[in-house]
Amino acid sequence: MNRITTAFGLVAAALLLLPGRASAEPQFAARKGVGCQVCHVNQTGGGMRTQYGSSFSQTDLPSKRMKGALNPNLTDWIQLGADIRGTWQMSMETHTKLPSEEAEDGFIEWDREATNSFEMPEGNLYLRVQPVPGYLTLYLDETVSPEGASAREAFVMVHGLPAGLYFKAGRFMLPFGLKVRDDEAFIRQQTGFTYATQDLGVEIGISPGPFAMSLAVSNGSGGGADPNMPKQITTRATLTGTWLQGGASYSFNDTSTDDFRFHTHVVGGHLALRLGRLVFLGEFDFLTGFTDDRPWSQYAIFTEVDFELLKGIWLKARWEGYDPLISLEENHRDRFVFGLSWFPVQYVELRAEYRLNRDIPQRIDGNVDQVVLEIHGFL
Amino acid sequence: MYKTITITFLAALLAWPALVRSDDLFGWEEPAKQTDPWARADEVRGERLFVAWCSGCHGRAGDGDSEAARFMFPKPRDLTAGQYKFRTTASGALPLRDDLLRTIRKGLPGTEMPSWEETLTERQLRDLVLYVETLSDRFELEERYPADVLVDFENLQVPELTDELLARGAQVYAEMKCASCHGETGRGDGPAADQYDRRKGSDTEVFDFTYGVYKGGSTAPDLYRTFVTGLDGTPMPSYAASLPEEFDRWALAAHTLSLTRKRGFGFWATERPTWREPALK
Repeated sequence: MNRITTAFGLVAAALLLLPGRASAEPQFAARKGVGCQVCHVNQTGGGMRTQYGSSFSQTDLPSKRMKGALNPNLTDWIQLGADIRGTWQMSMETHTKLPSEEAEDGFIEWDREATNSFEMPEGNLYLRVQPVPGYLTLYLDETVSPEGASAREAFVMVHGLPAGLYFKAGRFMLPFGLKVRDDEAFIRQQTGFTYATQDLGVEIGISPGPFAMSLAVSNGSGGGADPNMPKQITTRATLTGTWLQGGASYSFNDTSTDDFRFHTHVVGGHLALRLGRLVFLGEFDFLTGFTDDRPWSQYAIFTEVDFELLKGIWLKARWEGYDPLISLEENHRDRFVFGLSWFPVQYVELRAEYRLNRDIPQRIDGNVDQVVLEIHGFL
Repeated sequence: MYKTITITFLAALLAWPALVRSDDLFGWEEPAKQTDPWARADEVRGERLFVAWCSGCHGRAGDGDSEAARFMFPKPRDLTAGQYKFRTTASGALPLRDDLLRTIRKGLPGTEMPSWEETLTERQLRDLVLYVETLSDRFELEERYPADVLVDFENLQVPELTDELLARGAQVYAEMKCASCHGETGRGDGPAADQYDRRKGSDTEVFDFTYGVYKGGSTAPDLYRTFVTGLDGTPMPSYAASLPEEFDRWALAAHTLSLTRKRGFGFWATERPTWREPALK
């Protein structure tokens, strides 16, 4: 049992070190009572904005609008876009201790010095070419930072068909849960459906009326070649109302090899509720599977309240919970985020967040509080 | 491979201003040299602006069919029909260019249609109007007649808001049977309102005056115009013939604004809240 706990701890620590990347803003979708595909070219959210998404960010979003809007359309067929974020992140000095009969003073203690760093968590350029406008899209989401150039998403999509039917093939983010922009959120980090983990495969979806459903079949290898026969199946269904949105997601992945057996089931439900200028977001994900014939199960919770204080100024409070091994007591992790986002003019967001992290004392990195200041430019 | 793609991207970004004229990109304007403000408007530039900023809701063809439209109520206007609610012209007549310009400039409060005057330049707004006109055959096939213009909107003389005007407004509200749709208190719950229920599939609904945010604008001149011209494509008729007296039209506007639940939302002659006089409520 201890080995499994240690293994999970190592995996979680490695994931925690992954840079946070972001694009989608489900609170805005809830605020406007629209589905992901209304604002984003990718039907399941995130990445390049559609014409509606661009108009929204020009008119509804900013506190003040500057004259002379930049037109992101080169022609009817070619559209450009970008998301660039620069952050200053401070990790606070941290001290944890655990009662121990073996220690002289009765406690084992861990210390971590404060650090601060400038980072560039996201630099993405988007290109959309529509050889047949409204029906055929060639889409490229190219990451240029933080780690060299790589295609985050690159796919061909046939869309605009009856009942919102679409087909997608290539490299893309899998459709699961709320596409919150914080990759370090437990519901994204632990389920593996982040902006940093795309996959190769095909996706089909429909969106008749307020209902939308997507089904993806992919390698299940995080964007690499598939080492085995089974494929990852991921599906998400959502219902979008004016003030209430809800959805369910499911994913199965088997990455077993001859020497090692590993498969996971992830089931999740999410909700978005709008009450005036308040938006509530929630998601619960249950993960279960086998690692080398040993069963395990986890859960992750996400709850967030967003409040539009003034036009262009959003306050945020979030609580997240994560249990890395349900069968083990006292290993629960919590994360609290308090933040403010300000869109002073078009295409600019300034963000400040305080993140409180609570983990078992032995994992001192999981107890480090953080202050994050960010500037986000987007098109 | 990735390096090549990145270099291509950056090259495209750098070449962008060279590919598209800078004034199209940023809406820079030279000082106007002509007296006709429409002389420099260009529908080709307007089309480019339409694709970028309007097609997300109105659809590329302007027919109101877009991904976003199915989540909206009221639906974005089908611009190919050439039928407009907010005009200064007679019911059924084409709107003036200035009417379309006013709608794009101010937006339609309470709907998804935003105001574009803060974002687009004056010339860009006019470019858009010209392109919007090309979306419907009506603008090509029909004439605009001076006699169709019922309201000289920019030169309306707003009377002083008095208790007499308000009292007469209540009488006109009853005489014109406004309550049959809008209800006695203006909540949109009159006996005829049932047939315009969006939950039963109606694409229009009776307006709730107590809300206080009017799509066509919340000032007395805006309401005056709506009473005179009606709202084409909706059951709201023109009262140009049945309310020939100026005083009665302003009186109805005064009464309607007085039904607003929240003070400060109903504006009389200006666009700032002036509805604060205690004697009037």
